[in-house]
Amino acid sequence: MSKWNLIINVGRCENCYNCVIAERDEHVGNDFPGYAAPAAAVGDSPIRILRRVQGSPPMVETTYLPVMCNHCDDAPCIRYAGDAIRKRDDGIVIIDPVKAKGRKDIVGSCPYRAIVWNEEQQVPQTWIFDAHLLDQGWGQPRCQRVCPTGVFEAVKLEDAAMQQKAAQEGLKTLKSRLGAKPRIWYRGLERWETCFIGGSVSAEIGGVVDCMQGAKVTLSQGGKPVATTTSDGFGDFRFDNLPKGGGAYRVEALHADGRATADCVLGESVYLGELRLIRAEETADL
Amino acid sequence: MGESRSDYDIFTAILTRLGLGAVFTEGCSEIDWAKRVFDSSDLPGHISWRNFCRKGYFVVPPEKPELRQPVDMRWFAEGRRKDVPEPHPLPSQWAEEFGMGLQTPSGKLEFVPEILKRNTADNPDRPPLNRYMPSWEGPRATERAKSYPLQMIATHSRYSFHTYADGKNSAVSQVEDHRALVSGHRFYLLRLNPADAAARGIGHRDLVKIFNDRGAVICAADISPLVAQGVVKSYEASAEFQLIDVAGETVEIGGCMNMLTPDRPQTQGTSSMSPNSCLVEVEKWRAADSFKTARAGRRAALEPVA
Repeated sequence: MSKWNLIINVGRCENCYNCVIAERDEHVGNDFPGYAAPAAAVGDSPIRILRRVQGSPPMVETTYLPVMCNHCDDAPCIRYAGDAIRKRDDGIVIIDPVKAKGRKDIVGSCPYRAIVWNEEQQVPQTWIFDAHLLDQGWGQPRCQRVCPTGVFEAVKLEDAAMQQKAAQEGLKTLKSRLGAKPRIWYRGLERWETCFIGGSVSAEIGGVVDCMQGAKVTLSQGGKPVATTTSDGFGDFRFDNLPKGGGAYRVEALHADGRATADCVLGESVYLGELRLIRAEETADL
Repeated sequence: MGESRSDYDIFTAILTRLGLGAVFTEGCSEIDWAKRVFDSSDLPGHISWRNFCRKGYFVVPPEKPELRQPVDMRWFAEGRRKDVPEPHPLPSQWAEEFGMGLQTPSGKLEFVPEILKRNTADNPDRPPLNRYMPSWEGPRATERAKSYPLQMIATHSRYSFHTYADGKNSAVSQVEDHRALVSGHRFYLLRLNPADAAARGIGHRDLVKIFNDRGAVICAADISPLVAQGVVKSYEASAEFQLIDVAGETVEIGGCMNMLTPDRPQTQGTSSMSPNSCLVEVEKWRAADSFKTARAGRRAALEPVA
């Protein structure tokens, strides 16, 4: 049987909040019996957008990560709350608006903090994948329809086919070590989880400091080269996909106009600033 | 779908109830109107009404090259008489020959405009030749920058449109990157660089006081390297204005940054506002705890007594 999954393209979200506003528009004041009680006009949003800013000016990279109910196949909330929450045949997890009445304790059962408490209706609530709309024949949830940058892709596939797609396209889930088997997949999650080391190569030639294109830049750790790249027209270079807290690194830039090195200890992403090339004869003078 | 009706149906029904149905419809149904618009266009010269209805559309052929609109300014580039159909410049505004050259006194492109030389000689803000001018309220306005070292820009807002959709308990007000909820109040955000925040002991989402000699506004701090050091950023469009007295000081907590920005125009002698030429100082709001305690007390007082 084919089941719903949602793929989130990390790096496409630019924080416009259309998905959050559309979700509120769908649920605030609207009762969908069997799916969800009317959402409160004021309260936490079941879709949250997290932010990560890496580097420092001028090399800054911002990533926004939409986080919502993962519709887990081994859902911690179902284990905790029993028959107040059910798993539909199409994979969607629904908190029963009647059976879960008054169960504020359910909120804490989700490791993804995806359950919000509706003070007005006294029910725990989530993003229900717009199950009420899919059941009417919609092909995609509202968040996908309103997103101007194509962050969301709802796909209905057999579990085996989805596993294969995930493996082929490098899709990952959040906190996979918990083994909850989420149905929300992230494409390009490296941008959220890994770090970069970047810098800008420059040189003083004839009294003018200029950006140096085409410098061969090597990243090494403990004397062993890890990666190489070339500086672009602005003299910028960047090494991506480095592990957070990766330890001490050395960056060496080589160019016909000289050589420069910089050392850093990687906690979060680092922008090294300017690497000013020094000519071999200048080094010899030292 | 279902019982839904077209806009035309809805307005017809409303106007019929108002006794104006016939005036509104002129006796026409929707399809009658479509036919009337069809007849009023050039379409009957290309396709019959019957064929148009059967086909459902008509592809308008591209304009004949000789009928295309002349390109703006090409006449000037090619040294011809102006051939663009627009009324300006008026006949008396041409420098020499009617329709030839621009409406400048010389009839040419003027890098140093003759008119500015003549009319704004007494206005130092409008030199005839464009050049960089240090801001009259910016980091180089040394005296003022000593007391208020941060340059504030208060741009158009991202999530609201001017004051529309801000405040008023809207869903937009609950956008975490628009207003931050602290002690039951949604504070406007002030974005600042980690170095500026660290120098002032400010943490992410701390309440901060932004002030100069014009007033003081309380915002929640949003710390990230997305703002350059020495610059703080907020929005000019708060729909809230809420002055409160806390710990012997009057501050504004709605987010009305316009209190802090200068009243003078960006360029003297022109109509221009200056929300981005503004020096401020920012500090962690010392009265934040008094404010939070007072809020908590008020909320407790509102709770029903068991």
